Amino acid sequence: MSILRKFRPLRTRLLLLLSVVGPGIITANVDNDAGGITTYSVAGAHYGYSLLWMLALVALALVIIQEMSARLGVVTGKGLADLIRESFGVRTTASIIAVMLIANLANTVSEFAGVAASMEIFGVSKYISVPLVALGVWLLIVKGNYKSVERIFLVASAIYFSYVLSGVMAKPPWGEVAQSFITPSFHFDVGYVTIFVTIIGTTIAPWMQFYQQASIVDKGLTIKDYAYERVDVIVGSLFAVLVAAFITIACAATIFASGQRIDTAKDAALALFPLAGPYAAGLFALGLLNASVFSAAILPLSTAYVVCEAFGWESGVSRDWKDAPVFFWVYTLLIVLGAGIILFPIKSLIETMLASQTLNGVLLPLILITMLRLINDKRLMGQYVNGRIFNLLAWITVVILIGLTVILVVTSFFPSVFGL
Amino acid sequence: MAYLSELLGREVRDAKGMFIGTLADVLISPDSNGQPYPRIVALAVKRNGGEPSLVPWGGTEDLAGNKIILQLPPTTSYQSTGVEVHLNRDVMDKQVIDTNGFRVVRVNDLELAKIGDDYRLVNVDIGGRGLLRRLGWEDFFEHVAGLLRRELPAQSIAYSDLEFIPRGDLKVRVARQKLRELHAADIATILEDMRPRQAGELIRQLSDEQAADVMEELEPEFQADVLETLPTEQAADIVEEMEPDEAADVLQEMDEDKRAQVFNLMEPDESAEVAELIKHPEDAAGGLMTTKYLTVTPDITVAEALQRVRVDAPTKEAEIIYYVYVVDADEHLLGVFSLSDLVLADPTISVDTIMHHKPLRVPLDATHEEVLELIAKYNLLAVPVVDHENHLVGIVTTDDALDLILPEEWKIKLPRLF
Repeated sequence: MSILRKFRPLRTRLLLLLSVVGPGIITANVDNDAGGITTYSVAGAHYGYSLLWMLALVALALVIIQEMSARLGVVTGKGLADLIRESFGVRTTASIIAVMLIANLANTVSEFAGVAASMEIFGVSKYISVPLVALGVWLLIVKGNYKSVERIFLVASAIYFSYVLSGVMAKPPWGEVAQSFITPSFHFDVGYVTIFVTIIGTTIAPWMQFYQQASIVDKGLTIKDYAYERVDVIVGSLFAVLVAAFITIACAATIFASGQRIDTAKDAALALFPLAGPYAAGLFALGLLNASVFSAAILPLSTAYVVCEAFGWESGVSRDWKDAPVFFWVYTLLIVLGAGIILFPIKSLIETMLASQTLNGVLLPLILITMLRLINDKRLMGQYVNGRIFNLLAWITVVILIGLTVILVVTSFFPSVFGL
Repeated sequence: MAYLSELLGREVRDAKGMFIGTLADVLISPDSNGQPYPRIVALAVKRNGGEPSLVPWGGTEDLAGNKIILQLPPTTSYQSTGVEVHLNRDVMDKQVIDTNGFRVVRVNDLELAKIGDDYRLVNVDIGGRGLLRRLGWEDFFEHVAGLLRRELPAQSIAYSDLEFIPRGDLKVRVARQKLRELHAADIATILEDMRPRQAGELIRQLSDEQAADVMEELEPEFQADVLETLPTEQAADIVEEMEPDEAADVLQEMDEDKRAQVFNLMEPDESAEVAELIKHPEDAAGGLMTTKYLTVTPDITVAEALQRVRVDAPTKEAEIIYYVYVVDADEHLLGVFSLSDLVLADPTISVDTIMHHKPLRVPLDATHEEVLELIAKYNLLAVPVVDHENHLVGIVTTDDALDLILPEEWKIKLPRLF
């Protein structure tokens, strides 16, 4: 059997891989959402290529964390919320869920803000675009079934290549770009520190672990599929960071070079127009629209999953309203509120985005520590607990992330605390 | 009456009142000598921060007070029988099956009650009240509810309706009698609440026949996900027991690699039949039909035909015996007669004289609508499927055809929301 396995024809192996991929790639792509694109744009526009080196490290951290989430899924066959509830009881679960509900509502609001902004670039009013997208996204999940939904999302992932194209069309000096990937640099000013921390905060967000694990489990993947699922996770994470790098490069080559300032992804697209031509700008806006729609569908979905799983209510995209009322209510309310808040004139969308990042920051340490405790639980994971070196690496990652998110949370409340 | 959530962490003292430790867990034995509710057999007591140690249950301890006084000396050690269930570790916060409501629920709390002299596990709290109690908010909400002149809704299931879900780390061999006694369709309803892995572990507890019956009630996509979590041999055994048309459906949903493995492990004649069916596209009569039906040749007598029905029906596992199809040596469809035709006819005449000579039939590529229309219009129990040379290749039964319409009806979702 083992010899047979070694010589299994390439075609079969490819088919196997294709039947397993999905969760990792989709999760990693939703990661480049409206908030993420804004952050990467601002990073490129204000600091040129000087932040590219840290994207390589972010990729490593992302791979480490998402791999653990995938392993938890294939070994236990259970979702993360399920495991948290079973191992840590009602109180811990309820606290995590409560913060998660608020954080993900704020995240959803910022996704719809992304929809509004990108459609405005194409001259469509937000009063038309936001309700339409909200309804479309809602129907997709409620009327579709998981497999078709997943296929649609996988295809949508390809649209992220539009950022790569935007980046190439901006004609960056490739030598300098390559150089900056391997040259660490650091500036001590508030803007730089904030963007530094925010990049990590938007790239490694707490809902991702829940979503990825839930979709792995719902796919029925087991430890036998693990080798392929790991490919899915690694490729997904690398692709997500690659897209992030190209967004930064596109903005660095044009906006940074011309010395303009931007605050949002919409500013970035508009600034690209005269600098890199209408196609680059259009692709950039299309990318933002796709990212926002994609994430606006998945975030509420992930949240509904988590809530039901934790408290034992029926859940799952493949069920209907009657069987899983709480699931569909949470999903619907998040979309309705998320889209609704955008339609009301509110002071500042930037503040909403900031609030969502802060809440993510509070949640992330809790979830990462919980994950590490679960994955090192022999009763749960048997022989698949973390190896010693991997564990050390994972803890270092987690400690650094926690340190950085603490900085992010503190600076968003007291912007002058570091007095830099 | 006592709730486990309120007992955990309580002081445990010996008969003289000396402090021993705090309560960490309560152990029950599910095989309670015919008693409907399992009794407590031991307590896990945590002493000075160490690992909890097991102390046997005396039988007359009181759980109503704010501390637990042991009846046996705390130095006696408990002899494990290997079948105990640790209520906190194995049941609390876990999912269990409500065999009365056919669903999977999560345990929010456990209710122990005094029956005779002894405490037994009686109810499992699965409602919001249990959650509030765990959060320490029960009194507050009870007060609020009282002001509104309402009662907090309590939801619990009796232990007699409870079934544990097998898990890798739950080493108890709980009698799965309750589950086995349910109808296949009800077990399927329960499985639909589960993740594929969990469903797979539950399926493994059933006999292959019962597992196959349950599988047939599930959506083919989910069937495939569940089967893929099972060891290949067991998956093959279950698929073998399924009706060939259902087996073909589920195999079509599986990954190519896994499908081939299952196929290789099936009995040759079973897999040949399925292989025949799998060739036909799912959306045509060929994808819907089964190959388990009865045939006779036109030259035999009514008495001989009846004997054939008796012998063939069980050995061929015919899906229906009400229609017997008449074919020549090359399997060309010549006619059909019903069981009542057969029973009422003179036993000595040839079946040729009682059969309907122009039986209704559909071609292999007939659409679902065409099959349904024919069955509905002529009130048939089954319709034969023939290839382009009029060879009988299968039949579509009414219940398989019915499945085509019913799911659509069930899918009318989201009533009265917008």
